[in-house]
Amino acid sequence: MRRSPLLTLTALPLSLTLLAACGGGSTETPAAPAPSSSSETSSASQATEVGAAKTRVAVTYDGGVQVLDAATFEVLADVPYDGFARLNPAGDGRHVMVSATGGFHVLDAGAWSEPHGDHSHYYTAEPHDTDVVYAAEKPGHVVRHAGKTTLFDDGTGHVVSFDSEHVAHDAVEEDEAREYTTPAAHHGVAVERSDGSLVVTEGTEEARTGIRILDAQNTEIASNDQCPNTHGETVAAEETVVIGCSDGVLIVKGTEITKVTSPDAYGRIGNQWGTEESPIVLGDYKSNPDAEIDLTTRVSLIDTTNATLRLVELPGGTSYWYRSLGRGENGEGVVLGTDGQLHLIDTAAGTVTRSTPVIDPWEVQEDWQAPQPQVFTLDGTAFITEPATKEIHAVDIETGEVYASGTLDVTPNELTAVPGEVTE
Amino acid sequence: MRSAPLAGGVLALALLAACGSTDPPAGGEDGTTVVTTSHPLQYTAEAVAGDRASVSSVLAAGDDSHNTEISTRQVAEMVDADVVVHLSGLQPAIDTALSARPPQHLVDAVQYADDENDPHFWLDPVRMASLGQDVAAALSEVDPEGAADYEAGAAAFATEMDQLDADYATALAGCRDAALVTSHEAFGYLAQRYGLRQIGIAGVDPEVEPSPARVRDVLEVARENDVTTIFFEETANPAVAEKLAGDLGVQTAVLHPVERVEEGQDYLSLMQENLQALRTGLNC
Repeated sequence: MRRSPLLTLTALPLSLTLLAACGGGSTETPAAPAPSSSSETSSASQATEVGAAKTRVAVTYDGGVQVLDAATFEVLADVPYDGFARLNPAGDGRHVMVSATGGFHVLDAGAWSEPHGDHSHYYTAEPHDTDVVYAAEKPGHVVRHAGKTTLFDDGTGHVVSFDSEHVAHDAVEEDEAREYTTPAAHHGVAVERSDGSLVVTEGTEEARTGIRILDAQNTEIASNDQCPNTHGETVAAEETVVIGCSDGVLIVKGTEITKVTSPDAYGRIGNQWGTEESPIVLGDYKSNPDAEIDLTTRVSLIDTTNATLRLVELPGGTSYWYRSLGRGENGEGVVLGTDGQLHLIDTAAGTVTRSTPVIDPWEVQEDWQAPQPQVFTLDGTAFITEPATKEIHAVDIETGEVYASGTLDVTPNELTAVPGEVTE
Repeated sequence: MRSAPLAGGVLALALLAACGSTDPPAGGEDGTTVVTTSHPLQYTAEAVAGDRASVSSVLAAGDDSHNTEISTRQVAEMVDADVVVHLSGLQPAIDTALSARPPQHLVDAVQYADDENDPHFWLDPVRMASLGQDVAAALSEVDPEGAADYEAGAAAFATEMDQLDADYATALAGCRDAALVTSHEAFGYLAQRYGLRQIGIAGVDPEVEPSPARVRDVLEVARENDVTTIFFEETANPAVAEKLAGDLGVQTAVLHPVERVEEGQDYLSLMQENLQALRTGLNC
């Protein structure tokens, strides 16, 4: 058996930052996110070497987060969190950002790699909360790009961006983070690009209007205010950023910002999924400004090479919600429809190429915080939760095969996964 | 071809006086002690020392060479040893301990791991033979009266390694440029010696069924390189083997990096098992 324990001290150097707690921020002078503290000696005191990177899945439920082994869906840890928790990968392949009361909490999903010459060794340990918290009044979007993790506090407009690999030893406290505060607080998002420029939304609590591009010194170098209800970002090939508006998108290349208009006067794209390999971005699409629940049956494809946008009608009039989309390894788009099928979209051709039944039909809820089926795509797999049955499934995107399923003892809500290795 | 030991390979750290020991300098009679830090190094030292010196390892049987744990007692053993045989860079905790409390004589095998990305020099028998000469030189310095014995031990060890080398060279003579696809890229020195192409695959644990996407990746590597066997460092779980067999009929086999040795195994037996696995598994 090749299962050798390592000392925590050498295996988990990033988890040992135990600094004094600070208070939260205020709206006037947003406090730098700071870690809370404890005398935690880490329940993950033993690291085990394993033969390959271990993907870890995290799901929220009412009361906390469960971390699962992605191959078996065995529950590896159950960590309580206060408030409605949202999940995002932290960007280092190992940690998960839990947006909950107090800010962005760094959860160690307990699987990582360490380089060993021209290959890596892989380790696992018990998942646990690291006690590092990036304080935020309303922790919002978490963006991972080009080795940076960028956090946006909707309550203050405070942006924090740092090397993703430093997430667990509190980049702010270590003075390794870039910070910026938008002129007014709003539900926003920011992405730091590889040249140090920051694309950040502009707006107030009442109206979001567009974006600004800041250079590495936070000086504005470009802007666009033609993006009503600005929401969501993604990065496509050649570091092209796509930002959603209620009448189209903004495509950002360098300092060039191009508006692409939706075919409908109100044609809202609020969430986008891009990959660094594909110039085409998948977006949601809503065209009924008056609906409580817009049971949209179309998704959008934005081609960043020629700044065009087209819509794809899902088969059988099926609808979806913004948490049921994703991308495959080969650039495919995936949409889990309310018909319970995973629809595969050829993003270049703009067609649905296959529909595979995965879960029972379901309905989009008015309350976005209510548990609904979610999709998270990673390395060619679509993880899919089914709150009605407390099930979770792994679907091979290329073939549509449901190759693993598990039943939880909690009702899953938010969903994410990390690969257990550095992938950028 | 055996490479000559490089000057400076034996770091004779003359710190005897600093030890404050009241014992006479080691080297006489049967009191010479050697501490090693991994199995291949222990195997070499035992072969060279024969009955003339006592050889031990800081690793317990079955421990992995990458194991970085080291106890105070193990540090003390190294400090007290007449000769320490170690490969720096493999076990950072031991490097640190040796740096803090340098042993009296240190044979550092690092010169044989000349690819800084790959510590597994011992998978090349020719490099192992050279290490034997270094160990003999260090032991002869500590125990000059035993020099002839150590030299004879090193010569016998070299003969054994030469034979192993010849076995590999003969068996793999027709395999030049054959692809060696492995989940653990530990076989660079072996591949270099016998003209194989080592190709690493990541993402597959022999004990855990891989995702369909990872299976496709592995089979693609197999197809591109015209290989029939994927080598893991331990026996693949039948479900994993079945998945990988796929449409191509790709087999799995064990190729041991000799980082860890179980009861009844030693360096030579594992290298012979590896040769058998290569003869069967390489497409040549």
